[in-house]
Amino acid sequence: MALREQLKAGVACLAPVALCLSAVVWLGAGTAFAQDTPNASDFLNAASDAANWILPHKSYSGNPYTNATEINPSNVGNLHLAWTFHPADTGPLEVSPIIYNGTMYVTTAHDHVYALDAATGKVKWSFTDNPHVIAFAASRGVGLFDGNVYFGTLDGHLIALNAATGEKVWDKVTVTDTANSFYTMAPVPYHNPTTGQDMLLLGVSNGDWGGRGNITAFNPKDGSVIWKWHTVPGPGQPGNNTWPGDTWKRGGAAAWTGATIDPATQTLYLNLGNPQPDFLGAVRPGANLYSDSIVALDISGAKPKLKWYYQFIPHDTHDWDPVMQPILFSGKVGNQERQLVASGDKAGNVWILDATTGKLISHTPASFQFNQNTEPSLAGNYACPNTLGGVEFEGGAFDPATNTLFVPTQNECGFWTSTKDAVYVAGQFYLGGAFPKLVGPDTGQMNAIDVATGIFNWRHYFNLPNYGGALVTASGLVFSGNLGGQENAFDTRTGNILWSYDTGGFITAPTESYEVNGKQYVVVASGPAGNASIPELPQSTSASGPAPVVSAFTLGH
Amino acid sequence: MRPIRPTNQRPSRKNGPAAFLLLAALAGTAVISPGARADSASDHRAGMATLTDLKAAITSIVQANDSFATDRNVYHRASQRAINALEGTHGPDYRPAAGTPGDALGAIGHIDALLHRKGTPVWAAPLDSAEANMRAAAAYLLDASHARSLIRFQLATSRALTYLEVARGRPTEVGALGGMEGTLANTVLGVPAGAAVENGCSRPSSAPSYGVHGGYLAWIAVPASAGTHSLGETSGGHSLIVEHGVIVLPTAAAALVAKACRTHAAATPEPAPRNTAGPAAIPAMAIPTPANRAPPALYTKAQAAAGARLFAVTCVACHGANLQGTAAPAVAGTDFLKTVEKNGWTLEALRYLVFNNMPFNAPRSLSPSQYAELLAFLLASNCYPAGSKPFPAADDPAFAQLKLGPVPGPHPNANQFGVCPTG
Ligand code: HEC
Repeated sequence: MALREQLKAGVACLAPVALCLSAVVWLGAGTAFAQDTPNASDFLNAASDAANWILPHKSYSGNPYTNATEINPSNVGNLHLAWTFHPADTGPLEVSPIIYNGTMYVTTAHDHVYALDAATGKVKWSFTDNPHVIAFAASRGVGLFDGNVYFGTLDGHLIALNAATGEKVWDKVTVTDTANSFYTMAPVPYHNPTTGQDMLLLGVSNGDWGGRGNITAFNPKDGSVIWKWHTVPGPGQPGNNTWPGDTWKRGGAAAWTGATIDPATQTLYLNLGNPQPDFLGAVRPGANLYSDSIVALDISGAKPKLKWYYQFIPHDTHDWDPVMQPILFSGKVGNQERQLVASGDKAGNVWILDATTGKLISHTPASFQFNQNTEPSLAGNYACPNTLGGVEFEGGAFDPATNTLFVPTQNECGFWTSTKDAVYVAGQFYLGGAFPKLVGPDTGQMNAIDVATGIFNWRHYFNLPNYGGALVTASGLVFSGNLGGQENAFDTRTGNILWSYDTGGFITAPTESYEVNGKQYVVVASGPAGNASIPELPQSTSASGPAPVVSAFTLGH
Repeated sequence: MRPIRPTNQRPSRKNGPAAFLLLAALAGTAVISPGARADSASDHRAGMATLTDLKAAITSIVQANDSFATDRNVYHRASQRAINALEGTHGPDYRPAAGTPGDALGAIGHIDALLHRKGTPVWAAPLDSAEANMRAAAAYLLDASHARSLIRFQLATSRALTYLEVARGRPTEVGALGGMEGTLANTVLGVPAGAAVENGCSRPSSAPSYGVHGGYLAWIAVPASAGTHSLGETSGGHSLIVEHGVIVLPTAAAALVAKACRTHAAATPEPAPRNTAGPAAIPAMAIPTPANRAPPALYTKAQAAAGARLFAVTCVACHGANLQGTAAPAVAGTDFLKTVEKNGWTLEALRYLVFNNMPFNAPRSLSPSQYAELLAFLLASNCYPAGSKPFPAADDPAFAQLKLGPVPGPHPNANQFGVCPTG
């Protein structure tokens, strides 16, 4: 805490800068970091490394797919609990654990960080922050690099911990306005081979509280800013004319989900959030770029350059942002193998674009859609999905063996109201209305979409929403967690559920696979449903919901 | 008479840990209390300097507006200079490049220095108001300082000017609407250094002299002999009384003082006469002052108990049984009050959020009286006292003037999170 206060006051570096920097490096290197954290080439090879899981969605391509084949359709029925871990925190778990050389790093709703033995779930070290929460309490994970564990906090800090010991290395407030900006995303380490610069890519959550989105590259050594790219163009920039007057200043378009990178072309693919005020379109007539868009940024130089963008929902008035992290893959369209990028939004659409040009290939509505072109009114009106419906941030996965995209979706409807005007009150939602009231049944499904045609291979219906993302294994399985708490394994070809396990918590986190000593594990976090609460969820014995838990599964002994 | 000594007791408005309820009637509640008498020359100088800086800010904008310049830098610079005159060199928005028509402390700096003391002189309330109005003006001036077109500059500065004019006020008015001019004309703050001060309940025994009672300036006496006699810089008088070879200039506070003198009750609070002369739009612009510092009772115990039961069903999933938040923020105690203070939330801001946005997944799904019960529960949990009047189901415009914050005083029953029990 003392260091954090010092840094806030800007006096952490009393010694000349050069000295200070080397002190930081020395701290980070306290124990040989080569074996504690992955290096730049490990990140480039992350997709084919079945033992480790070093980026939130496995690799830079954003595809949660593992080469591991030990667990397969014929033995998955024998999968059983290897260990559980109960963090000492409240609130939902939305974390993508980061796993490297037998250590698993897990974050909890209030920014606790735990380093676990990945084979046993035993705590190696823990760090508890409990920052001041301004809005949603969630942490989606850490970045692992340069001997450190990096994570952003709910009060806008970027913090580096020694990966071996959990000691704090540095801590810096890196958001511009702590009244409306905070972090939930995991920092993504990247090494730019052209400039030789190492960086952490981190987007800010500020898209419902009156901020203006950005993605920032921070120096892993000290948290200083290498570059910052604003997601809403300012005066004089192309696209600013899609915002009347000064509305761009609080335009939102937060970059809060995940960063997908094509290292070959040094292209960063980002999905950007909803425009603001969320539900009052009348004050911001226009397309409101680059809200609800995917952007492709050239990050090879000193500053990012926009290559192309595709706006999924121009002038959104329902907070239907494309929150699924883009998946970059090579898939067959017709008979042609093409470089593609897939995405999904909360309006319930799954999109496939050409990764090089940004041209639309196919668009599949994957959840129940209703009355999507009517803006919320003072009296209110119905539309589907609800803000927490459609495709959620846990995203989907691509299977090259079947040329299939697996995406979980939710059917939820809402009653939306707007207000006459949107007033910015620091620290509160900046909505011009209210988040929708849930109406009707809340259900979900697992979708298998044929990339060649954009048509479903199969769909599995659940009587509860299905938030848990997708993990595809080379052995022909797709794992996904249901909000009700069931972790399920489907046959990629048939959609049959081959294994199911009740974790005892509600699942709003993605599933991952890793290996320790050659043995394959599957891991998923669950806990209270929090902001995703719906009336249909089974009553828990505790008022705040089930306790958070991380569950790891394995075959045999 | 107890001299007023500056101490560190009075927290500064900006960072103060005890910015609890800031509540006051619009016209300012003038209270004549015994013992509050300041005749310090430095107070007077600070008061005058405040007015000078304030006028300089106004002039800067008016001149730019009158210049018909086509260069937008002229307008930007004028706005920045006005900010500099208001905030002084330590202000958050001070930019040295533009220069300042004011002094280093700036109008707000002078007021902060004046208010930084134990006790509450009668001029504290109107000065607090003037400061709040100046801060509001500075916010608009900041917009004006990077306005992209003349029309935007004019829109922003016309708003700023309205606030500044209220802050400047007029000498014929006592209380919040009097602003700086009214305060200097009608309170001891307007008595120049070294002037003879007499009992404002009597007529002058010498001239020149200043008649003071309970911190208010009732009259100024000028010798009726031939020659030029200097007056206080501003004067709220309407009439001249010539008696016993002296000219008496009763101030706008004279009637207030006379009433207090008549009842021999310097200790009894007397409200100031309500202003009826001002244009209708102005009172709404006057920002209320912390005249009444006791936290008001805003709800009943029964309401809070009903609210507690509702909370346990509709809110607990996201805000936790201990109110510290699980998936959402804390809604009571030290951590919640941090948000409240940092963002300067009023009761209206909190009320709006709960009535319109909560529960997050089913906003406006409860009845107004249920929402009122929840507000009662939240106030009780934040250690606000219960009373006999229930929290209203309908909106109350006064809530926009009620600043929330930690309730002063010990709360022996509060738990480790700073949450008070409601039982
Ligand atoms: C489904 C989750 C959920 C439920 C249920 C819920 N809230 Fe909230 N609440 C939130 C979120 C998220 C915020 C943050 C909103 C913001 O930043 O403006 C919040 C903010 C608040 C705040 C402001 C706190 C702060 O520091 O920003 C109050 C007060 C509040 N809620 C009261 C209530 C009450 C009373 C209820 C029950 C009627 C309730 N909430 C039910 C999710 C919930």
